[in-house]
Amino acid sequence: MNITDFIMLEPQRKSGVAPQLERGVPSEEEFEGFYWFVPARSERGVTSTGASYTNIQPLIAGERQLWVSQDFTPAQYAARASVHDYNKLIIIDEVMPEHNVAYKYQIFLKEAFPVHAKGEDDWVIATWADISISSFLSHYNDSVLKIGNIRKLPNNWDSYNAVRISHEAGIRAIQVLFETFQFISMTSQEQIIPFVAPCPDGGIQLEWEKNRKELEIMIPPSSDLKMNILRVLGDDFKEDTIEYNSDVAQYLRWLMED
Amino acid sequence: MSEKKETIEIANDDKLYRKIRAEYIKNDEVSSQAFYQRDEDLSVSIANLSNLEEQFPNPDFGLAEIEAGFVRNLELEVCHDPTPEDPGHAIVCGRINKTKARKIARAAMLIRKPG
Repeated sequence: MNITDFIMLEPQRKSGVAPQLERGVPSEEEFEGFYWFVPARSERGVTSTGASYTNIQPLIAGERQLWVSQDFTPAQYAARASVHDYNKLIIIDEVMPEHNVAYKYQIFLKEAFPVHAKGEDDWVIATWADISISSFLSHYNDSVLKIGNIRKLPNNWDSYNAVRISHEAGIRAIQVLFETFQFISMTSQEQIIPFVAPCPDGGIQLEWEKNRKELEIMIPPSSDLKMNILRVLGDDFKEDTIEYNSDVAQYLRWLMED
Repeated sequence: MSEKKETIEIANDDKLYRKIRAEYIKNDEVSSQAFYQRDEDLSVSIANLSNLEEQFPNPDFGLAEIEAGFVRNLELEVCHDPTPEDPGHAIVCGRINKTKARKIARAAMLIRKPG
């Protein structure tokens, strides 16, 4: 799924008027701190080797309606109701009588989290939600939790003068995990969950194993620094450095190859 | 006048201890980060000069053991460096890159798990 393919939902009143859907790419400021809603069709199956997979196909937006295939199913998405609150929403569909492939969406608040209200009768529903966040967390929740936990370790946590794990390393590690999730999702293979280790210099290391291959990505404490990579195949060791999170894909490709 | 430390020669078959946090352990194996120091020497303790209960009482830490000769085969030096707290303290000198850290982790044996 192309994460830059956004559908933006506008705030709605409690009266439940169906939201107007518009296609657009947010500005840098709008994007900061928000998840992006991409309604999508989920296709689940089993590969010939028995691994289960989920392919998420973004829907195509036309005008203010979404044109989808008739087998679109409602789903639960993680979403943000505002900058301050987090809510889960159920999205349902209603078939329009005139066009059998066009759907309108109505959004209901399903969980009892407080919402950030703009006025007495107004409430801010999810402006943007990223469908892949729910799927990502269903696979990587333990990894994300461990990152949070190792961030709480105090100085000298290893008794050999290790420093605290930096905030930047924590953020970057989650970004790399998300890149990993997206990359592997596109291959239709099963997700391989890495081991998360704290680094004495305040960074975070992600470690994968598949068959005879091992991959380590060492995320430095500062985002100015490059990431160190180690690939191991049997007794063959290769080290590299990379600058961008997206560079991780080539090493994941190596790991996933038979 | 500074006191000269009395040091011993560490034999290749001497065992070295390294403290291991629970966060480093996966399926009875140890992450390479337990043996990685970017720009510093790696602290260890010589097993036959160490009293486990006295030097390593903290149950938050497990213990991994590695042979000094294995470390030397990676072109690293191992030198006795006693301290008042740990008469068996030693340091592994030389640049420990990711490859060497991974090799040490592979060869290390976890002799005590964190409690």
